Amino acid sequence: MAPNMAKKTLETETSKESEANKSHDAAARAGVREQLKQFTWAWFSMTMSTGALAAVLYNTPNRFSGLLTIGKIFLIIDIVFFCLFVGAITARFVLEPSALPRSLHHPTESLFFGTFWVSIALILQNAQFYGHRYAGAWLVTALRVCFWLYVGLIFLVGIFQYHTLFIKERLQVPGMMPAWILPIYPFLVAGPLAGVLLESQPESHAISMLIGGVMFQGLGWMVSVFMYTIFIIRLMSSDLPPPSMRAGMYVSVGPACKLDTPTTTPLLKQATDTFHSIHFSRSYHPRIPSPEGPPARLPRNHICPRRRFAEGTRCVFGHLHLASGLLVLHAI
Amino acid sequence: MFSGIFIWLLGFWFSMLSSLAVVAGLKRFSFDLTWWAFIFPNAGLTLAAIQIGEALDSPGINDVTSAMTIVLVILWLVVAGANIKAFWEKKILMPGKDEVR
Repeated sequence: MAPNMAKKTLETETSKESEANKSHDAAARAGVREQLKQFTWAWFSMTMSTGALAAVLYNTPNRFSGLLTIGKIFLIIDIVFFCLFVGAITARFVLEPSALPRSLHHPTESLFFGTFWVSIALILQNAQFYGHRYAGAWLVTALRVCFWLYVGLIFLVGIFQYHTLFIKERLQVPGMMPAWILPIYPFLVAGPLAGVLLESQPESHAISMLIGGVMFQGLGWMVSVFMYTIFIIRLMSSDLPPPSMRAGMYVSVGPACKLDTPTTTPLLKQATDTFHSIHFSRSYHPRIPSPEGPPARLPRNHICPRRRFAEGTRCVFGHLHLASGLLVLHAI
Repeated sequence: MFSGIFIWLLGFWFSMLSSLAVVAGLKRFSFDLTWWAFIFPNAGLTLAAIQIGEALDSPGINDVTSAMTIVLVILWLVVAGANIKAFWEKKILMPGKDEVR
């Protein structure tokens, strides 16, 4: 009995091995075309990571002289690979046109469509960071145009992608991954992008970017909170994801961090300043000093443009009140 | 700025939860494109911490965020290396390997 069993298991093992060898050979023979057909939207998470890293390197405190250069290297790698990946995914859809609609409602891959847009936003953000000192006024206009185009497109993506998922797929809660946040993730990045870009924009454009930025962050954050709820439900009532997918759990960190970046900070700061000036001074015209001087601020070793902008828009934002922020947005 | 401080720890909490989950399943799982998810959210966390450090003008926070940046760069190199290795060994971007239906 036992020797027969041993023989059988040995046979099945060798046949499994030969099968594995066969598939390996088949894979090895697959050419570039086959490879391109496998190029999923998920590859854009690479450009997303590289762009995010370039942004971090630009903002790091404790700088040393080579830091900006390292950041620029990452940015260049990011842009090069982004162009490469755009070419690859275009090639994939040219080779197999039916793959385009399929990829956009595949239960996992379609979610990564958002990474493409976030990569674009990060490139724009890094263009502002690394470029605004060297490029001329054209960069300001170009970034503004790109920004609003981008916002329009991601709004379409945010609506249609979820709509497609609602119709075409039945995703189960026990299988929920934070990647479900990814279609709205571009909005989460659009907020900070607005905050970064508005610093060099002329005032009227800066105001619209500021309002827009707050709205985008609001949308991104609220939908993320909904997804957080589902994620916690999944984790409490069901297993952890399989080990190979656990890296995907990190996507849940994204929204919580994007909330406290350039847009919210100056807006809320300025709203608190304006609130103080309404309540503690007769007039809130920027040129007439209030009785007890300017409101207390935390010391900032930071750039003038933000403060100038804050002063200049105090008139416009005269009614901007922290508690009634939404009301103001309606009024404007 | 206070909203930043209010929310940052949420991101850090999720980051720690995910790290623990990853470490618990660390039986040599093969490279996957989701490995890049190690970097971009944590880069966001670092960026947010930098903002907080700036607003509070704290050298302590600045040093911690600089350390986080270094960790991020190292992570990027590791993931990039693993990606190139997997690409070279034809473990990804192959028919039947990825999620293409």
